[in-house]
Amino acid sequence: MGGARRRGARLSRSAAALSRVALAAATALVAAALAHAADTPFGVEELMAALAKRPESAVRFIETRHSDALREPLVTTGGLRYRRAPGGDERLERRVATPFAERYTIEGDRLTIERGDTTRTLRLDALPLLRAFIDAIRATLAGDLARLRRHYGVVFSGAREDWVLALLPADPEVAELITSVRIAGQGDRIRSMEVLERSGDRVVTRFTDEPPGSAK
Amino acid sequence: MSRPGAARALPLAIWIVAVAACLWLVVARTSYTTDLTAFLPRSKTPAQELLIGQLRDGVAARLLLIALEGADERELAASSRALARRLRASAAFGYVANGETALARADRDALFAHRYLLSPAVTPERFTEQGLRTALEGTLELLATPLGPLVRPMLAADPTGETAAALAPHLGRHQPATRQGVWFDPAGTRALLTAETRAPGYDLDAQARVQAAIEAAFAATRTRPDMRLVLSGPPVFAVQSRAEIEADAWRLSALAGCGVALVLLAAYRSTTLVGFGALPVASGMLAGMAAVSLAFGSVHGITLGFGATLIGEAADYATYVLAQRAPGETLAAIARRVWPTLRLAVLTTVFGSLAMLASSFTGLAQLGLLIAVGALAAGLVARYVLPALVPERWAARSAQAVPLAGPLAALAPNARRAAPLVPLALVAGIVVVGLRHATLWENDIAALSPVSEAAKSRDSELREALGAPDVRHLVVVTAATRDDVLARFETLAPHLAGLVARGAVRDFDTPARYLPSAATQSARRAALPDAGTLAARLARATAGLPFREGLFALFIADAAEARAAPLLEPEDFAGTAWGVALRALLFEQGGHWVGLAPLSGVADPGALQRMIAGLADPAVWAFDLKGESEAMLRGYRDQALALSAAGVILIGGVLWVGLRSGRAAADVMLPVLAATSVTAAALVLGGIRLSLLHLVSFLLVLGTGTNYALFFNRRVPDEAEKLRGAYAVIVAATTTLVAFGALALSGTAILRAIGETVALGTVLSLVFAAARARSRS
Repeated sequence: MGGARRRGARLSRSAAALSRVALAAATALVAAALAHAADTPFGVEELMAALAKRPESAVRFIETRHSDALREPLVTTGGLRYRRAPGGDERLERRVATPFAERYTIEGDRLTIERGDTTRTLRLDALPLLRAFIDAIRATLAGDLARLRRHYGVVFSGAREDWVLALLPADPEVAELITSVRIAGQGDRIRSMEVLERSGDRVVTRFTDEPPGSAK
Repeated sequence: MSRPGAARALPLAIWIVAVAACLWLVVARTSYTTDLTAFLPRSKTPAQELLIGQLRDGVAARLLLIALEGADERELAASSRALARRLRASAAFGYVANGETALARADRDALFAHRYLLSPAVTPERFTEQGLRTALEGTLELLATPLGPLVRPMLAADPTGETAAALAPHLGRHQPATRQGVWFDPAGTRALLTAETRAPGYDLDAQARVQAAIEAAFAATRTRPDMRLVLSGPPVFAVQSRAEIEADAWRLSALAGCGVALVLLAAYRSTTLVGFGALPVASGMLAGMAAVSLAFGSVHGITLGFGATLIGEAADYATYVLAQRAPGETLAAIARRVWPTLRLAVLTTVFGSLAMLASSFTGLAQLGLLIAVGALAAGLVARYVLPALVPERWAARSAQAVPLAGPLAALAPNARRAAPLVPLALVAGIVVVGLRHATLWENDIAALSPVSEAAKSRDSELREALGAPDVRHLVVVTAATRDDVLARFETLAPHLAGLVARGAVRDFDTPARYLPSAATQSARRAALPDAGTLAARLARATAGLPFREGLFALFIADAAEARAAPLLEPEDFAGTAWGVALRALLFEQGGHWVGLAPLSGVADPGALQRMIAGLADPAVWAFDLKGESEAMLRGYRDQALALSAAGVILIGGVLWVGLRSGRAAADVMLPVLAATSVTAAALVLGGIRLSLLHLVSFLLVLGTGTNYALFFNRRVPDEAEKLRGAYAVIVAATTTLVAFGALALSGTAILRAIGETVALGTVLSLVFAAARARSRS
């Protein structure tokens, strides 16, 4: 009992020392962050403005679905390209390279699915849920906060160089399928997206800049 | 005439008993309908029957188009949601859509529950080891697409994606644009909704209540006070038309009534006489309605409307008795003196109307009976009841001398100088009408509608934005059984898809999309292997795929259940949008089953006709709602025209017998026929196309005009009596002119057509009759 008490006292002493160090470090960090923030405040509006300034982006993606329906995660790779014309017309292309080849092109309200020789066109108007899923990434790339808020409650956290947008579905029908979407990034670049589904599945997508010259 | 007391009492007693009996019949024992079936000939074709059914209570007749405008997108969308929520909660609507959900929960549940019977992908090959492998690989890939979150919840129970396959044929269908999650027009300035009323389309009272309820719900839910509601669609037009016609009819009837009363007051110099003067026509209308009620069991709105117009002739009967009083003469004496002519006036009308009794259209036959009985009753009341009823002291107060006697006497010789012009006028009128015979008749049913052009074009705008069918072109299948109809639609569907592919038609729907035929359902059910076989094949098919062991237990159980499940019936879709669609597209009518395939955007009706003709199946036909309704109205009109012509011949016969001279009969007929032909010519030259309403108006002119000539040509003892007769005719014509002149002021095309025609015809009849007057002393 006595030994234990001694050991506990020693522990608490070192914990106190640690906490003092941590406190100092935290204070320094907070001070630095505050100083930085005082220069250029960065919140969801600023993030969206920064994203809206980028009319184009092309990234590679690795998407991993973690599911208890599957023995191993389902991994998909490919490229994602987004382009916004000055008139506001948007085009989002998701090209899957492995484990199968397929291309989804979304232009305005029209979704075109190309697989091998077959092409199918659907209207997002007829599939409002699909539109909500797509707009999580599309409206973020567009820097269109109003459109994002049409489908989701938007919570911003982090800083300019390490931000996270947490999206919570506003539409109960979407909420039946998706618990939350978490998009993380750096400046005007999106680095990852994590979709938590009501089924318990977690779909994590990592984006990396497409090496120059690989764009087609 | 033995005792004056009895001579008075008997007609009065008979009249009172008859009026009481008729009132009881009309008020307590008669049902009134405004059903369009009055336009149906008794030997109706299936197309006509279907048409009436669709016009009365088809989907189109119950579908309201709703638009919200006058605010920004966000406000409109919020109001659209609030309004839709409130309307869905109301029992008045079977279905309310505003784009919030492409597929309601009830629909998704039904689709999922019955996926193995509904999915076109269910074939024996689908459930072989290879077929399963292909389907599962496809599903796995779908999980890695943006559709993943939709596919995942179904994975365990529906790994082959049959729910999606069952839904696929419906997704291609045109959907309105959505903004803020609800339907908008392409410009984004109007939020759009559609609502299908439970009340039938022909029940205008119920439709009016429903529309008022929508307006109240909108007022209570709109998010901004300056936001506006636009309602459109056939039920709205029907209610608005009725309200407009009614308001106009009441207003102008009041105006006409006042005008007529003033004219008669000036003629009789007694308000009491004016009141009594209304008794013959009122009794006639009552008797006519009672007769129709006894003979047909119900009285139609069209009969009442046209009847009330045509019975206008009987309003003159009292005038002929009350307005030609010789000094000191009793009413009974006038009635006795005038009766031979008045009797002929009544009989011409009775026989003229009898021709219509032969009509195969209930509406026309009712009208004929109402006028025949009504005129007879009115004539008898004018002859026997009026003198018995009106106290002599009141009658004595009326005019003693003929007003206008001087001018009338002076005018007569001049008028007769114009006599040779009357036959010329008749010929000229006939020639003009004959030259224009190709464009004589208005065949566009819409031209009779009081709905404004602006409202019509707004309706087609909304319809286009909503992708609602244009309510005109249908492919119809009729067969003995429901299943037979569905099977034929399954044969037909690829042909219709071909038309869509060629751009001849934009889109179509068929009942078999909602409910496959029993054969198709059985084939799908038979394609499902038993649980053991399926489990074994599945085990081999999933080898190498990453699905967790035992994941598909639900699938095996559901497939086994579907294999033993009964085939789908329409009741399985109760409470869903599919159920609503199915009820509208598939129904029993007159002992057989009818299925409808509504088409939208028909760009090439010829291609549609050729496709149907190529099928060479008499059970399948293309149906043009507009064309068919116009053909039906044309049939009604043509028969009315033919029977009117027969009526004219009968009138001529009655006059020949009554006047005991063909020459005298011709003298009476010529002026009114000339007046009718010149009126028709004037309308045609004025760029007006003639319709059923003009025809009814001509019939009235024919009735009243014949009487003018009869009284002008009456055998009279002296010049004074001739003047008194002429005066009565002028009073009668003036009342008609005033009454129908008021209608001519109407903003409603229907009322204006009747008003103009009768007013012009009356003036011409009077002038021509005066010109041809040949009184025999």
